[in-house]
Amino acid sequence: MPIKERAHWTIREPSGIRLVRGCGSPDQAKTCGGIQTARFLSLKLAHDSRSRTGVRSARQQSPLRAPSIDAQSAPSARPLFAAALAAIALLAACSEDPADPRPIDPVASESSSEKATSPHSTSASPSNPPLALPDNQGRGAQNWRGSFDNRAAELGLSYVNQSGEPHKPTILEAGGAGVAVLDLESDGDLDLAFGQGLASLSALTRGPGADLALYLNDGAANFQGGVAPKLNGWWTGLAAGDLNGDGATDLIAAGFGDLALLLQNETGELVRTKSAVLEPQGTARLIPGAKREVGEIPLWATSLALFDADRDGELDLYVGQYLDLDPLDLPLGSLGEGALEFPCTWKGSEVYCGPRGLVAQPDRLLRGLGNGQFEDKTAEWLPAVEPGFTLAVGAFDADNDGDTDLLVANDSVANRLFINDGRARFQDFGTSSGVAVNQDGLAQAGMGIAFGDINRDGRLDLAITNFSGEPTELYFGAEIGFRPQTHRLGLGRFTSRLLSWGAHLVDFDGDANLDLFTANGHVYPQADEPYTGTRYAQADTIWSLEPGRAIAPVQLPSESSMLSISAVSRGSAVADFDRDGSPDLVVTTIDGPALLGLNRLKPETGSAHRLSLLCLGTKQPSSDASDFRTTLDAFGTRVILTPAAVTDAGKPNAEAAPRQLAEVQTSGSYQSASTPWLHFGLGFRESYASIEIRWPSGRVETLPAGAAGRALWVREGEGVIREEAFK
Amino acid sequence: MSTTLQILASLLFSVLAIGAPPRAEFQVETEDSTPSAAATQEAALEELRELAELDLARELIPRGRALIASGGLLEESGEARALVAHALWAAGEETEALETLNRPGLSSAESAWVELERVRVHLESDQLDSAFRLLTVARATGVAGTKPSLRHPELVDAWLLLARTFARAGDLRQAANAAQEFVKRAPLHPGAPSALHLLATAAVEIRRPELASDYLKRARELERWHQILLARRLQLRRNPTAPLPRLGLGMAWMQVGAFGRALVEFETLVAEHPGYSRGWFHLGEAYRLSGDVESAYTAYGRAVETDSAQHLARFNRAILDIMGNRFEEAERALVYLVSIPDVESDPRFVEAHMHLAKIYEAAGDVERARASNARYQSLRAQKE
Repeated sequence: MPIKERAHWTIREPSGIRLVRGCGSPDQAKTCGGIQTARFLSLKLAHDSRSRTGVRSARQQSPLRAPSIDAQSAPSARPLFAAALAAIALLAACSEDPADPRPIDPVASESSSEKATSPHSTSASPSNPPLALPDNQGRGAQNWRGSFDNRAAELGLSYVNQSGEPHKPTILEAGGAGVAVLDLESDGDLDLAFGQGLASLSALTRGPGADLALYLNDGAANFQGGVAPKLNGWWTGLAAGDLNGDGATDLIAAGFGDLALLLQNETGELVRTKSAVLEPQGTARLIPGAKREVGEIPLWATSLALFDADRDGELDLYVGQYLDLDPLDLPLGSLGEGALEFPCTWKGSEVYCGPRGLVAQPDRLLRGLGNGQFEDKTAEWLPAVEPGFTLAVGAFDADNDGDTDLLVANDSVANRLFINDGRARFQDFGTSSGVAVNQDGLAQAGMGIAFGDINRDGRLDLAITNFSGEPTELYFGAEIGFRPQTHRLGLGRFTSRLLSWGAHLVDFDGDANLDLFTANGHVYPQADEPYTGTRYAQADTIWSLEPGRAIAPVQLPSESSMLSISAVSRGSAVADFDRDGSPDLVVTTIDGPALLGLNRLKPETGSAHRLSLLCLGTKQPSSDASDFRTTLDAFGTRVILTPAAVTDAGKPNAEAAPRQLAEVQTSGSYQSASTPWLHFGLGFRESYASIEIRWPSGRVETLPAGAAGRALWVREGEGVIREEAFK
Repeated sequence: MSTTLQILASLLFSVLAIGAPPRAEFQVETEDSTPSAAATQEAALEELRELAELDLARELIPRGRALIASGGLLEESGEARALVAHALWAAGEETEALETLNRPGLSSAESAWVELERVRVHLESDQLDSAFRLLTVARATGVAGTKPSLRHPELVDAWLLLARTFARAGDLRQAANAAQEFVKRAPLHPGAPSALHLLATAAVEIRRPELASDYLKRARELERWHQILLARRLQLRRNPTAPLPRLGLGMAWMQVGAFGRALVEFETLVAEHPGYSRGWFHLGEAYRLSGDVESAYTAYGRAVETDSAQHLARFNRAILDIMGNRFEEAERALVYLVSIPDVESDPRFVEAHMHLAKIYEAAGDVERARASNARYQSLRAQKE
């Protein structure tokens, strides 16, 4: 009745305001304000995690008013991110990590701290208790011995990347290519495949496109070109594994507008094989030279991860996808039109547009059928989450439960940690596990992922590389989730000016501690302009890590070391190319030659013994009661090496050295795939006490004590089937 | 002669603190300055803030160097010095940044800005203990020992820095305490989304998933709002007199209830584009929602004058006429509106019929009151 409507007349009352979605846009001004703001139109905030929420009234439901942490004033549950909420709820049911740092005395946490504090009472004794931190300033640079020289040209690795025009007018041209380690011709030597782009984006639409570049290793790291698979496209990320069970390594190539399944034939050549599920369909596939129309958006895949999601013994595939970029309607210099044109700038320089302002493409999860083909299980296996500009994917067992989980590093938005329930049903635990955003609560631009047990506590730890101004983040695996260590261990100050991509946690100097390698280089050539605080070309870096100690930068003696080269690096992979037991590095640079670092490193002091291990699965169940199986590549297998209990003088030592955990996985680094070989450093110890192998099938085997200095081939259920002394 | 100068346009920052300082309360007491000199100083400082918030170091650094140099307009401003030092540090000019921070000559009040910037430098350098010591002082607890308290709780950035120091050191509980205080004091600060994220993480730690989810949602909404705000400001820099970016900027402020900030934008908009009806309408909205009915009425009137098809403004002005007992004017406007076929049945204008019914009823015109009410009921049913 009219009289009841009187409340609506009191438009003086500010609490009547209810803004609707899109009111921030002048384009929608006609539908905002006015009558609608004078009415109690309820704003329905979507609860679907894919939704984009509106902004509510500042007075009544302000998103800007912090809810109290106090129980009485806590808001009622209003789930927004269904998956995140479930994840948080599950996490909340678990106990706290006992390894939490000791809290210091509370700092004035009362709501009105002024009562207790004089703004300028600096005369008080500065006797505040220190924060519980390791000494992160007291560890100097590590001067390793030996060499880690770039020997690519000398050893025949002549690959030179092409990634568009030098000034990088579009975001595609800034991405560069990845590299994959794989065994072509099944001779046991580790060969290389490189992604490749073209001189410009217009060259891609005109055609012909680029092919992959293959290089065959003679076993001593001498490379020569292999027979390319005759692809036609712009190739970005790569993943390698035996996809059809014939014992030979196959390859999947991701690209802008294409995804290719390449099965290795009997002569060791990679042959493109039709895969309707893998390949983009319709206009999402870009065929260079073929006619296209404006508005036809190609699929853009970046990083891939081959892993066994459901432990059926067949490799499954996570396809990380980036964003919508129309090659015929490129966003150049600005987004939007007319007066609402939004300049694409970075620190005042005009740069390519994206990812912000462009539309992210959703990732996919494909189940391997064992014959090289896939079925799309995205809807069934992955939770419905908002797409997030994926640049890196790392498959590993994040929660120590025996199955393989997924960490997805996103560009400019929060990372995802998809936890596997053991049957390939994933839930996003990114926020509750602590890896979604950094310690300041800010989403970063994740580019690469590395994992390894840095502190030797039996849990895998993480490194995630990021944009300049955002340090490479380091997380220690905890009982529940991950604990950030970036600033506690002093990595922030070393890495915040770098833009890093490929990453690896590997013991490069063999001292029994993991080291962190990051491939560095900016996305914007404009980084060389004044006052950016960074550079376009950056030297790659290694950081020395030791349990309980701060991070130290590694300095190498030779001026020709690969860490002395200022380049614009992108993808990177680890493998022992010359079979000397030391993990080597291959790095792609944008618009430049690949780097090949042959590792001849030793720690600052003492000797470095090593052991390498290749695990081979059998696809057989471990028992009648289980149908879990291990893939032939043994991805997901965990190896726990117990070093010999001796002193550095070789005498028995009652105190055993920390056990070393490693997991067979090849993904994580930006658009690249590393070797499935595991490389252990033993320091001064010349032997190990035991090796425990936990196969994804559930089988656990223990190898007895043995000498270092060897490469071991271990087959599931058979133990060591081959061994070879390092060259 | 001692003069206290209110150097910030009170309208500009009267609603909410945005950015590092609680600007509305920022005052400088000076012996000699004339109002115009103070205004010039404030304008220069505001320019530096703008450049800093837009991350335009290439413009900020040379401009800032000159302003804070000996004899410069902002020589005695701690905030200006901190802004310049911050930009220098981010630009890799670390030595000059430290020299800037260490330069003497600031009053104790102005030094607070510089001290906070030193804290930031220590945080950037992973010197968490040093940052903590710079941020806090020991405070006697009365019984035994001391308890740390913030040195400069009056500066909202101090709370954010404290939260980050604790978070980086791994103490989420303490980080949450500081983050909560920060968000309370500066709910629209660009750092607020990250503080809300910290609160979400802390809520997970104390097993409060609903609370964590709520914080995350708020963080996300605020982050998006900041992106819109940033986009509009950059658009305005590119097209300083284009109406749409400024309209969008004003509406972004409206979204969060910062009507004072919105008024500044809309006033500028209609001053630059007096024939822009949408600008007048939204100016009217900003006035209305900030409680200034008279100014709102005038602005709605200008909107209708500049565009007779500005039906929203006409309707809202009619409502204000009703509130002011100017029923004849209201009736005229409402009758006009319902005479337009598209408007008559437009769900947004349904209540025009109800208001007309009430006016007719008050005037004793029962027949027309019933007809209008029937139409209102019919359209309302359709709408629902």
